[in-house]
Amino acid sequence: MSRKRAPQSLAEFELLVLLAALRLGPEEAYTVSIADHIQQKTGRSVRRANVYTTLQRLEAKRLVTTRLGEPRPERGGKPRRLVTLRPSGLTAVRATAGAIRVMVGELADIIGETR
Amino acid sequence: MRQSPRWARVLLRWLAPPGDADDLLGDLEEAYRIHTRRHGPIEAHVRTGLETLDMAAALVRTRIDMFGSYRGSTAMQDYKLGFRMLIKYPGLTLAGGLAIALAIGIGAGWYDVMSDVLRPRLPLPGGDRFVEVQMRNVATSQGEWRVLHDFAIWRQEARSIEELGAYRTIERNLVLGDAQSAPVTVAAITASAFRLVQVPPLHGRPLLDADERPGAPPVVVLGYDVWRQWFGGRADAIGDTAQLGRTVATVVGIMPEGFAFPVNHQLWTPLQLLGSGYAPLEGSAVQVFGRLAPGATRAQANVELTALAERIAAASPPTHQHLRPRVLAYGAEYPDDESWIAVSVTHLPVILVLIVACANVGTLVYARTATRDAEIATRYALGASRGRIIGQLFIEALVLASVAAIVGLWAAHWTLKWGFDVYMAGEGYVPPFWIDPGLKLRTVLYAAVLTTTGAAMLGILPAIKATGSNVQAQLRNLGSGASTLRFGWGWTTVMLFEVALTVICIPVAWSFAEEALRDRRIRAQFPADQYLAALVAMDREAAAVPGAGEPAFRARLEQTYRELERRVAQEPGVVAVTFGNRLPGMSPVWRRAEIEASDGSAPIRVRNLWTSAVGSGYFEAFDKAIVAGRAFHDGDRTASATTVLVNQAFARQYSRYTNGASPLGRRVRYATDDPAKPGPWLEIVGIVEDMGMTPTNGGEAAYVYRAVSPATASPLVMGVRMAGDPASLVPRLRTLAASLDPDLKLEEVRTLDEIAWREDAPNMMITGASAAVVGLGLFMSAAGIFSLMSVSVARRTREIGLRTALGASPARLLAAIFRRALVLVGSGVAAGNFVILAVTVWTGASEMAEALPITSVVMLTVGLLACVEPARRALRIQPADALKEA
Repeated sequence: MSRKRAPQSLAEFELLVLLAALRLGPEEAYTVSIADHIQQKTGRSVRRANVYTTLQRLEAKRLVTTRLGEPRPERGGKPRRLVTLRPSGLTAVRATAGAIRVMVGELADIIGETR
Repeated sequence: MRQSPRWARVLLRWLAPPGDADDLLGDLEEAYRIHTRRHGPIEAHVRTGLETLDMAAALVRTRIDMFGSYRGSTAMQDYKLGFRMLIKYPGLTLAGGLAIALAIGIGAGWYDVMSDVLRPRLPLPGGDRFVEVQMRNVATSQGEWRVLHDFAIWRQEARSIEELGAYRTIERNLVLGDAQSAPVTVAAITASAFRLVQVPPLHGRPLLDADERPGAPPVVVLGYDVWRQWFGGRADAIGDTAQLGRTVATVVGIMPEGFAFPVNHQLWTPLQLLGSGYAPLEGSAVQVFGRLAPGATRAQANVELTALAERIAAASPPTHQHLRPRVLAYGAEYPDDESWIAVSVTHLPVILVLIVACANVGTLVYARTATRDAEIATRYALGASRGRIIGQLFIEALVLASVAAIVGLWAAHWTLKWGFDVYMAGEGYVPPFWIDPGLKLRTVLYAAVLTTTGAAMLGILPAIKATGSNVQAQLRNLGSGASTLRFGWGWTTVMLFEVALTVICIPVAWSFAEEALRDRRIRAQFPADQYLAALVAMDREAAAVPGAGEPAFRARLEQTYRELERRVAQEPGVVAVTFGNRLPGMSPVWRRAEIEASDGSAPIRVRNLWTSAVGSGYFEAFDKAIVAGRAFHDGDRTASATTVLVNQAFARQYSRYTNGASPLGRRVRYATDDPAKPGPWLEIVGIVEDMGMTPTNGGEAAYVYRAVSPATASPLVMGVRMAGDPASLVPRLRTLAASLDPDLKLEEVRTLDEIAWREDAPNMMITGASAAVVGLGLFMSAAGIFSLMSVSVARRTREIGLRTALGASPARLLAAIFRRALVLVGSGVAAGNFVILAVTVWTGASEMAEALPITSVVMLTVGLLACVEPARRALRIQPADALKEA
């Protein structure tokens, strides 16, 4: 009987990167757009190098796949490396986000969160 | 369209992992445009730059992480295993490592020195195109340096060599006012030298063509050290005057530190040539240099100069018919067509030493491999290829050789530096400017090649043998603990050779040590710390009076030296002043001679008779009394005098040959190159006490002294006995000589103590080196025998167990197992002793033969000690072990 593997846990920045990739979708998620999206949504400064290394790590963990897109003139004729979540990536996002939601829900009275 | 900074693109492209470069550069470009849109072009540049550095750091971290994962790769595991082996087999690590370190250290040091000497690389811009032109007389195979006639033609017509110049070296006194003088090495050189080297002066100007013209005012360019020492390093020294011998020259330039072109020169004056030119072979000897013209090769230059030489020879056959010019790389010892000599001299000894070391260490590595055959067989069984196993064993050997190479290189580096500083520099030898003692990058690379070659010899040969056809047998033996590998005749012969060589080396090293210690003991009895020796010479070229000839020069030398001696004797602390052609303890001069027998029979022939020429007061200055006959008087110093003194050692040896006769009144004469014309007979008029500073023959060196005057002593060495520290007189002595005559040079001034130390230093070094070689040889032999026995015990586990079960006594058991080791050591000792006996019979040196019993006992003891651990292991084998195997 095979045991089902527990979903991989994610660090906070990994979770943000995966959430941004999900939000942008497989045709628009790449390093620059992900960094920009996180910056816009959270208001914190995001270093492109951090997004790049995080994506590499997520790919090594087999949570995302990447592929090269078409060359684009605004990138000096260079392609984008587009990011797509694997099912395991989605599972990890669900598990980590769920755990946070549960933990935060229990402390709603203290930290003032409503949901 | 604006683009991101170029450096950022280059940096990212360089650091990006394969396949990621395009999208990273795309990100860079896109981010740059976003920044430009939001913040303007200037801030966009700054932001993009900072982001690029951040990204570069991330990429470097990624690479490091990748390397980290590489640590788990196969090759890295092999390296780790190699280091573990160093610790697991400390005997092999120590013995093998030392042998390889010695071989690679010697090899690298030799290559370094030979490269500098035979094919130097000049540390000057375009130095690889510098050439020198040598003229050779093909009839006599001698060099011909009187080439000013040819030089003028080459300079005018040769197209393949540019900035052709010439120089000659002059040793001259540099005198500054009333200060002391010191001899300096001056290059009288053409101004083209400074255009050739392209090294600008630190201050002032170099020599110019105008300075070479006859009648031009004398000028000099100072070397850095001379400038610092004699002119206090003043920048305004330009325009000052410097007195070189009797010539006062204006300082026009100062060269930077380290500049010593053409060889090891300290000052440069113009080489002034006659405007009217020179006849063939007229003028002084010079050396010619230049630079290959753009596009020209040395071969083309040779062809061109040969053609010119043929034309000159046609015009002047008597002087030039046998003269041939050749163009060599500057500083090289051999022309291009003989470069194989340089290559052979450089590499062959290195390869030989490496092969000897690797053959010795190879026996140990093979033995280690033999004890690991179960492991190798298991790897085979698990699917490792033969190449994979050979690769693993090669890397293990490479680790050992690399660690040893680092030790060897380090030792070679410091030995070269130390040897150079202590010995050569102390001897007053200043090397050419291109020689830099200590290892260079190219030597380290050479050592890396040696290391890899050595590792291949050490690792691959045993590995091929271990992974050969007997792997199936090894697999069958798995679990038994027994080895299937055995020492073949090849390895056994190497070990036998090693034992024999060690046996030969022991008495040799012992005699070296004995001699060195005896020399020190004998010299210690002489009060060398009271004496100062100064080599005195008159600058012949500067002091020569035109038309006056040799007698006038000698008379001036005699007069000047006598005055110097008188003034030195008046200095406080000076006890005695004398002279000779050498002082006690200095390098010997020996000659073949024959001595009249006492009974009128045939003269006694002597191969090595030590000779010395002594001045007035010589023996008194060294407290040596005349024990028989008379001392020298002034009449003995004339050219026609035929009287000599001998020392007591001479008298003792003469007495032995003649049944107790005295040499007094007998005659001695030296052999000459022509056996039919020996030198004149010289009468022995006195016997003097032994000096005690010449330890050769155990202090029994037979000496013959003749009397000389300062003008006829060659070389002229002044000896000063002091009541205090003799070194304190050195500055004063130089001042006295400078004030007396600017042409009088004190070339070397040292205490006798220092001279004695330098005489002894080579002996001490040889003693140390031979002791190290013997120690290493003994250690290697012991390690080899230990390996042989260990393998033997491992192979015969079953046999030993069965014999034990059948009741064999331990003594019989050991005898059966160790017969081979005993035969090996015995054969090695016998072979070594045979060589020693042969040498003894051939040379008549009985000391080595006397050492035979000691040598044999030492070697056999070492051999037996090496067997102790394998014997212990053999005796612990139980019958059950044999049953398990069965």
